[in-house]
Amino acid sequence: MIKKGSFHIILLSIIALLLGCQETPVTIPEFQVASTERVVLVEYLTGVKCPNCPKGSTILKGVKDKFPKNMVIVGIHGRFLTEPLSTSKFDFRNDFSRQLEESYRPFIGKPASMINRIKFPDEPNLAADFPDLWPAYITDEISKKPKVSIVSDHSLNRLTRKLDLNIGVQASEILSGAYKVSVYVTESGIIDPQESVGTVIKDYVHDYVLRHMMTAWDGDVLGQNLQKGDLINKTFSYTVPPIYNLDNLTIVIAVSAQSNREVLQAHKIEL
Amino acid sequence: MKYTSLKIFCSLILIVICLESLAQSTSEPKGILSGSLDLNANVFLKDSSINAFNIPQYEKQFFGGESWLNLRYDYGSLSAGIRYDFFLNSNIPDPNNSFTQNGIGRWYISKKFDKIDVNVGYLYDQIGSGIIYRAYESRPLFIDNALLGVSLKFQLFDNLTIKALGGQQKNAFDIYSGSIKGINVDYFLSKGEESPLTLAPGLGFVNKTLSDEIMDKVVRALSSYLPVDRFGPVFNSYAFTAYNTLTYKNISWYLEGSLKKDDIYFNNFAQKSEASGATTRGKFQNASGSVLYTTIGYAGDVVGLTLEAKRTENFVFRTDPTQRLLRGYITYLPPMNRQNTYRLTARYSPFTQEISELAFQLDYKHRWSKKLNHNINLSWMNTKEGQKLYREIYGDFNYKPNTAWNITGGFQHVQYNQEIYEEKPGVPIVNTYVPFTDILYKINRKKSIRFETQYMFTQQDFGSWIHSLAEYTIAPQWFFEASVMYNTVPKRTLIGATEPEKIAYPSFGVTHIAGQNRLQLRYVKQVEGIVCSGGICRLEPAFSGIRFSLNSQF
Repeated sequence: MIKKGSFHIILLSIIALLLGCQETPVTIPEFQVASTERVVLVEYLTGVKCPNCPKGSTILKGVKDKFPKNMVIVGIHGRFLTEPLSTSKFDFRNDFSRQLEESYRPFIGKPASMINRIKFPDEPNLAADFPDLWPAYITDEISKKPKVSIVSDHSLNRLTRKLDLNIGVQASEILSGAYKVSVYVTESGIIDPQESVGTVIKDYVHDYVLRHMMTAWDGDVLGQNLQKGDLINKTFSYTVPPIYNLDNLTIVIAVSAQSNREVLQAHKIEL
Repeated sequence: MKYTSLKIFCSLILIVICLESLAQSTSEPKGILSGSLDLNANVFLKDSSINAFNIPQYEKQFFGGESWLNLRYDYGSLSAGIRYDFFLNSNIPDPNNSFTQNGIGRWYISKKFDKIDVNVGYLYDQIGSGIIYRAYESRPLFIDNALLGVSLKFQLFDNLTIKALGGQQKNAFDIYSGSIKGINVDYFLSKGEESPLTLAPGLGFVNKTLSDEIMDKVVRALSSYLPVDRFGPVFNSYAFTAYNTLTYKNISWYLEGSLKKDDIYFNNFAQKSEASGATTRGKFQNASGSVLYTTIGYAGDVVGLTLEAKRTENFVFRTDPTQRLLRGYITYLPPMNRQNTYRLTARYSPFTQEISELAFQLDYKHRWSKKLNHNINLSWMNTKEGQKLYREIYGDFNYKPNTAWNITGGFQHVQYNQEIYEEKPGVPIVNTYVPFTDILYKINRKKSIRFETQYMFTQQDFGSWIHSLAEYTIAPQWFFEASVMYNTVPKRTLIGATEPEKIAYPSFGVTHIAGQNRLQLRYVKQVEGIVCSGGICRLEPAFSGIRFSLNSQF
């Protein structure tokens, strides 16, 4: 039978042994990804009353600076935390943003991002709400081979502010099911107040703000059961309201599967 | 956790019952089936004037609810249980969203063999006061961090028990991929009945191991950090606690010191450098942490006194460091403020701070006579760096002049750092002054009527409030209540309004108790507020609608 004194010594020895364990730390790899043709769509749920959203924006911009050709951002000011501040000059909300945001519920809070509308393992929702994990999710998607390619040309009459857009989507492999295309109009460089942690930033620069969509909020039908090499052309027109700065507009095009909404490829045009 | 779990549970329980029947074939085995049903049903009535809108329940679903059916079977020294959880358009997991899922929320089997207790399944347990490990359930906050695993408790000596546990933490209807192991030793020392001094020391140890999937997430997050913020993560972290309860006559003194060896956690307050040159707040860190907690109490015939102190440093301890809000907690840090019950005295309640907190609490009770007693409670919380978090001064008296009357009155003053607790930038510290009364009059042996009123004077947040409630009881079966909360001096402009508005939030309800069944039906309009359970809190949006609840024991 074990004696009490011996038991205490054994117990303390086991604990001391465990506490003294030295584990070799995991090596952190460099933040990089092989060059690909993939362009990732990040739909960013944000709001002017969201104190943590400036951090989310900074992280997204950091990734975009690193992979400028492989990533496009659409800032969605839907309903949650989007009511303009008393000092706001602009109201970034619109019906497209509201409907998109509602369609991405549930999300636990903001900021949150839909990255190619993929639900990542261990994420409770489609909307990933932990900004520090976004860079990894984005590089995951960048490393995938695109299933379609998107080309475009456009003309903008600066006098009438009429924008005409032609896009071509070509399947890079056999694609069963139905597919949709979404065309977003975003504006950057808008200076207006933004809540941040512990303060309100009066001259905050809002980028990638979704202003309009040239398709339905959930996209227009593109085609179905595509064979490799199939090319589908679409045309869109939009007269840009005078309040938007033409020089700061970006057109974002995304092709997605109708069934699960996953984005196959994105494309951008800076006017 | 669906049919596979059910099969495992049913198979195990059948095997154990068969073995138990064989073992007890000579005696009279007695099986007892018991259980409970808890059911909530909500009808959501959109009310834009109080910001009860913009979630699916108000816009299109209109109905939501949840229920928990518990069944327990006791057969000699064997216990087994199963719980079925059902959520339909529920707003409990996330007050701003709708959640629908159902399945087996818990199963367990417990068996006692001589000096060994064996528990298998989803287990609730804690070590010490729970600082390094607590598996518990808090339904209003959707906390259910039971451990899916095994626990063995062995009574090594008459006054010494050792417990070992291991498994994975529950995550709603799933489990987290990391693992948790622990050892707990409890000792009891007394010099016999003639000595008033007893000691109950204990030691606890917890090891957390990250899964490959979690480590991969952490590593890839760290890879996007600048070198200045990077560190080399490890899979294992260890927490150790030592505690003791000393009792001497009417005095009881509990002391616990807990240490957490280098552990990966997300520090919401840490500055992170970004490639653009900007700094943002919040990053993964790898650091040790500690908690020192003590409470000393004196319980006399006339006077009761409790003093508590707690110092917390970097004690974020989760099964998965990438989880946030109330998800994945292994630790439970004791709250250091009074758990208030009146609507307005409970309105501003502090969330336990894990990164940095220094907190003290004093609770004093005095019984002047059989008719009169009073309570005083003081709470004080700062960060270790000196930032004010929370202050509370509370006092009440209770006077019972005869069997018909029961009168309570008191006053509360709170200072609440809303910027920290609710992450609302630039808002001032909320200062509240709340006088309150609670008067109960027994009309006869069965019937009674109760009135309570609180008034909150404050210049901050929503501004001043009054809350009044009248309750009529026909014991023991019927309870009728009507209450209203009114924003007498409104300060906050709600969404859609142009200026602060005086808004009334009425509620009406009836409760019926029939045997082991309790049914409640209420019409509720409720302002946005903080809901807390043991120092764990979250912000709840406004509610408008009808609530039905059923609690049944069988």
